[in-house]
Amino acid sequence: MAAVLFIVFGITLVIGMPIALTLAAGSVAAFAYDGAIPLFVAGQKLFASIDSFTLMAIPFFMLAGALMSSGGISKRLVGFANACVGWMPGGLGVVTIFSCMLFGALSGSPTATAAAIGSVMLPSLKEAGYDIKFSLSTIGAAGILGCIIPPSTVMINYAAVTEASIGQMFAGGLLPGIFLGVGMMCIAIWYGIKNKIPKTKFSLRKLRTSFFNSIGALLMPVIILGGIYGGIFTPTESAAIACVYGFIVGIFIYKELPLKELRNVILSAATSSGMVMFIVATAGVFGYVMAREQIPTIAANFLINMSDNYIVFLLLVNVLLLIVGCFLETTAAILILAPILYPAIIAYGINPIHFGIVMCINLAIGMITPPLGVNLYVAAGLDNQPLETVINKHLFLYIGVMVAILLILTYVPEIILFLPNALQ
Amino acid sequence: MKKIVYKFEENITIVAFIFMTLVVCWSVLCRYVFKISFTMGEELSRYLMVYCIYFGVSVGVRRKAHLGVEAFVSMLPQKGQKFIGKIQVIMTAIMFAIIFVLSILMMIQFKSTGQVSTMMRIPMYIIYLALPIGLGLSTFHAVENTIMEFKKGDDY
Repeated sequence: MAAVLFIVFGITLVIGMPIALTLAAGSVAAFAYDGAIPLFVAGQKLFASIDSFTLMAIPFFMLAGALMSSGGISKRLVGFANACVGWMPGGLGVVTIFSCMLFGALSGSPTATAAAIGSVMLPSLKEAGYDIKFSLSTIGAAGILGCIIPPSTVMINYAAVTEASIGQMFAGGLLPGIFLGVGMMCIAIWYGIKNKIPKTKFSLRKLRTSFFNSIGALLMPVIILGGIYGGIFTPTESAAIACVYGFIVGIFIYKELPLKELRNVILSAATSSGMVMFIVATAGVFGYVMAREQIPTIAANFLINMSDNYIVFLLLVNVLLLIVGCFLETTAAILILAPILYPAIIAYGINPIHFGIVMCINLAIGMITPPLGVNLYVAAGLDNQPLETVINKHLFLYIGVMVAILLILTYVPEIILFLPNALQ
Repeated sequence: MKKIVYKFEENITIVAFIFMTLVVCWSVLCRYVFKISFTMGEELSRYLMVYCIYFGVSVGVRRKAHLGVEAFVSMLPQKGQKFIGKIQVIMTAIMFAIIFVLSILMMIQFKSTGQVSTMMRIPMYIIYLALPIGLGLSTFHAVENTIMEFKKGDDY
């Protein structure tokens, strides 16, 4: 039955069927093969897997992100980032990365981050004479910070399947996100020095005006994270408040979100949440079959027998996740792999929050590794370039730095766990 | 006729999304400002989400928003890509039809038990109804996509 599950899933995946349906196809085939489970259970799982107040944070953060990128907020964030770090060598590259970090604190989605910041930054990058290859790979790579810097839809999914606390996951993602951002900035600075790109001067006045211009946007992460850690809201409630806040800021304060556009903004957020949540729903059926077949336990025993050393285990898992991340959509990867790996990490005594963040970073890197890096497509699409333009030596440099930071984070759990422990 | 279906699913999605946001914010407001607890809020917002998501799935099928892995197919020569592409759209439509049927089976199962929701005491089958409708519409769009894919193939 397990073989049928994975074979049918694999075949339908390879021919390019929508990810959610590949999970459904594998599970339905396994149901049919088994014959003993009543079929209505599959239908019930499709309902029960998404009927969750915790997961509701996903559509809300998607909507908040969509409102942010069309409400003139991303433009102001870029203005603020420019005043902060634009004076450095390779200034606009650094600004792109810093803006993605700021936007990542508003949005939970890497693709939304790359699209929102990329569309604002690309014209200025081109004008200032940055190589299009460098610009697009920077946008794609920095975009992944959207799912590492809290809030993050990937972390919500991880928390939902492993029952880790979303608040702790969010806190755990902050420092690694900053580390990765700073690592990427070093590459951008080096590029700026090497290509002798003219520098601009730092101006305190510009910083002050841009700060006050973007204060509406900068307050949002304060509301979201402050609300969660202050014990005022649940993550889902904070996400809903973020939507209303984004709406008010876009319509009444910045006045850049025409009411007519609102329909499209909501629909686009609903279709992208539909896509993610449909994967959650069918992964629920898939997970049911896996649990019935005790695949997680078998996998845990297999992994522990392979090596009783947790250092080797973590290295193997990192390699596995990086490869999986290249092919599989992040939500699906988390929902399939987290339940399989969870019993093993408990057996090794690894902290679930630490592991969850490592997993998120791995899969986030998978979003910019060819061949299936969604963020590469987003970046290429910004300038109607073929995918090959984004895949170049700059991108591999970024990936290299990220993998190096990932390895440090894997073996020094204190960096990830510092904030969650401090806030507990 | 098609236009009406399109508008219908889009409007349900939007209305459910807006209400779900407002319900959650309202329950926060109740807790802190009016110092009362809006106990139905959590349940109501969850059910609104189920409607929003399953109708959103259908809108997504029409807009081809459901991503698949294209890496392997794109390695094939042109002819092979077209062939696999056709198989893929047919399989997608069939798969949607299968889970549509599964959701109907679930409906029948729960309709007979006469179960009601814990807080609002509304019959559960009204909430489960989101699945057969949303998945039925998705199947419809998947068939539309299949027809389009085959028509496109004839042009070459």
